[in-house]
Amino acid sequence: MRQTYSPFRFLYFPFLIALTIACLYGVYKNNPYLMAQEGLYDQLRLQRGADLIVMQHPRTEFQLTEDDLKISHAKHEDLQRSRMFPEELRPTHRWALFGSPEVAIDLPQAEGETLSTAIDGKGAYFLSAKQFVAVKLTGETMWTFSPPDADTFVAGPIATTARAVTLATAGGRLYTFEKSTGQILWYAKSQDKYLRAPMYSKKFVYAFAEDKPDQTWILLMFERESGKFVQKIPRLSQPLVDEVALNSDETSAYFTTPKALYAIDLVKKELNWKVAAQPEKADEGEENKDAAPVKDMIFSSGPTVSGDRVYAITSEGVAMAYDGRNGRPIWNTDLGAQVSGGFSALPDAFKIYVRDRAGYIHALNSRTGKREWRFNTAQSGPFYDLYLLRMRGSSFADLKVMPKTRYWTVWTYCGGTRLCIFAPEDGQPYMRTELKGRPLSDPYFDGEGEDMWIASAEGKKIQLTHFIAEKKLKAIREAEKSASTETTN
Amino acid sequence: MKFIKKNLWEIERSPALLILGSLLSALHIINYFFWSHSSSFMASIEGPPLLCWQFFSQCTDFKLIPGSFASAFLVLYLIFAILGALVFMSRRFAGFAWFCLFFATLLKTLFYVQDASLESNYQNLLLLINICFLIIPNKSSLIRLLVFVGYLMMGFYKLSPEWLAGVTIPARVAMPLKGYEWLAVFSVLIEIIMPWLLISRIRVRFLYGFAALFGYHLIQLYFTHHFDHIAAPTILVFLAFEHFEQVRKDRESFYRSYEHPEPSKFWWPVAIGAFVLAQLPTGNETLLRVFKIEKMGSYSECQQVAFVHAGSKIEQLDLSSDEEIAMNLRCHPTVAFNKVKSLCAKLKKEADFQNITSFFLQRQLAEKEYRLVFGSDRFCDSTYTAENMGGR
Repeated sequence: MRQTYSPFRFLYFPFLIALTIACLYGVYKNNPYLMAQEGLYDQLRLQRGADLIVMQHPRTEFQLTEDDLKISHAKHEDLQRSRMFPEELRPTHRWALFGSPEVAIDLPQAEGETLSTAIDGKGAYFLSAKQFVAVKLTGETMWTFSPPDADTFVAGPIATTARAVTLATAGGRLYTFEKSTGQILWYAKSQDKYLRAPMYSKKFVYAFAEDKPDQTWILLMFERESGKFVQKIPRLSQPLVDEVALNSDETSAYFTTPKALYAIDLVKKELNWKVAAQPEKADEGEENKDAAPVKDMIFSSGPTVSGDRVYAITSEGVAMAYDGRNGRPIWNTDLGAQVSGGFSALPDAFKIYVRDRAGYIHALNSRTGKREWRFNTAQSGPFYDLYLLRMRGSSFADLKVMPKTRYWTVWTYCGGTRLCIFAPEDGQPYMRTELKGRPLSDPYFDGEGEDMWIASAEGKKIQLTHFIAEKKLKAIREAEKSASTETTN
Repeated sequence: MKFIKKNLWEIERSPALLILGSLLSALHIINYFFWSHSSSFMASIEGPPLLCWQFFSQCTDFKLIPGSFASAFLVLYLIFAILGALVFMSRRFAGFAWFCLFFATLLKTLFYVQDASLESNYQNLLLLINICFLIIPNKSSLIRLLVFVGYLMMGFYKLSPEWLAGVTIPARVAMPLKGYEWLAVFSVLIEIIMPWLLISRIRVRFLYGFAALFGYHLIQLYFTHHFDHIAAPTILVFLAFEHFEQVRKDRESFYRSYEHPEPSKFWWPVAIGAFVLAQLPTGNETLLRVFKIEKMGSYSECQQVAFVHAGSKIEQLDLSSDEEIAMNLRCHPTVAFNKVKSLCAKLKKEADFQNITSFFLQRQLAEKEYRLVFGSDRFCDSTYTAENMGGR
């Protein structure tokens, strides 16, 4: 038997060798780390963004509109700009209305101790470690939500816009709900993060998160409308003390850790400057006889931004001002009191205000750091808020005082369960009113400012108190009277 | 009947094909036991299937095998398979064996088409081999070609970061991830290079190809305990018999002075054409989809969240992965979709229940971000169906 040989027979092995080489090239193109010590899986995982999963609502009708994005709760910076009280909502009530609260509603409580409270036109919101409760201003429960498993909500101000509320949990979950219905708008989950209370800015939601594996902190930014993850910025070795403060154009973020004040450039995503929590020699301003001696101190509150300046205060009561652009120290002042909260700034009066643990309100000149007035509220405690609210001119009519500083007022809690209002320029008390229990929230004004709500706690009972302007109250009474007369007739 | 007779004639005259008939029946028996021990299959055999094929999206509403008969049909499938495996050993009763294998294949096809969660590349190829064995003339050459093309396609599909990262190789043996990466590389080389030896008529080359692939599947079987790696070496055994039979025929034909009758050579290109058509992306909506070789075993991560609205209470549900479901189905969008739909049916009976909001996201290994596959705040509405999210 004679075998015939095909000419292709000799090409068989060269073909197989070429195919093997091509295969190996294909392998190399898909796995360039084959010969490296690190595996492809690890490399691909490293190339991924922050290990955050954001689930946004796919239906366009649930996307937030521009109107929805108006901030209804904000810190001092927003208050100064009257963002919290747009023109149409600016309070116009007369002071007499605070004499007697008209309605006090017992509210359904969140399970456990209430951590934070917020009120707006759509309702009142209460946050405890295990539950979030949204109620109408009439006291009716709108919706409740509890995080799953053993997860708990984190303490801190409730971040809300006109339509949405964002909540964070210690387990790394971030929820944004439609406020009145509880419809989930977007949800983010992080695998190994411990989140802090989120905060709204014009465009973003900011949340500090602890990176659990290496115990460092990062700042996470999400788009407000969609929850889309934007970026994360520098790692901190120390935990965040309080909220983040942003400058007016949102190009820089400022925050404190116990040991330092940080400024982050949000555009370049890098650390701009950092200063330690102890006063340095000021470069400008008048000689300050209250200047603090150099010693180890810690921050226990976040910074406050006003214009180009950043103000911070240590828990030992040393107030410091820095140039927000480069961290240059401007002045420092020792208040000689233990302080828990941060400053509230009022650029119109060139003043910054802080309340100490002993219950004193300190007003400092923001240009020099000199203390201009001090007032004892007779209410000592670790932390009570101090608000700067701008009123309408007509609100001052019955007070028989000349409003100054463009109708700004200083609000705080004093003497147990009272709400006290002062003139910002000299601390002159305008008025005070009684609340049933410890105040829990910022006052909320509605309509033409004739209605004001405030939540308070008396023991474990939470109440929502509704104040009605005298003029409006009179009209209501007359309407009721005429209705009853008609019924009798 | 003439058509069947022609096929039977071809089977009867070839010992290798008789062995193949017996092997295919034996694979049906093994398949029966694999399915019987697969909780996801048994769970859905009488209830709604886990997944629908795209060409049969109404599989949950219309059952090819009624639920009450499903178990009985499964036993019948086993009986036909056993009979086929035994009777194919005798050339005399090859006709009866053919019918046994035919009914076993028919029943398997019904189960297979009913529930897409049973799919695997080897099952697709095996189904095609069964059909070719039963009704397509020139079986030996056709099956060898199908096996060759099938291996090449599966090999080339493995040239992806997901496979080459080694994370999709079931980790039954403790080994560093780097070891799995190299295993993945060897599997690609074996599946692309060795089939070329398998089609060689030169004994040594064939034996090298056969030994490499046979050993490769045995190792895979040790790692995965999967039916696919029993089916593949079984077909390789047939190819070995067929190879030696062909060599013998070639040798005999040298001395043969008369024209030997050959099976029709018209139909096998048609079968190959159908196989090629099935590989096109447009073939997903036809029955040919069951013959498609796909990029299987891709690494996928998924996240699902669901919120139940009942009265004024909103509750987040725990949708952690169901251990009962096979690994490759845990991140399947349709399985996730059906899971929430079944919750809807359950919760609708409760007072105050309003609706469920659910999102499902997925990403492959090489993808940096998750993609939203489906999401709705009206999940329990009858208008929200699998078509809204795009079916399989």
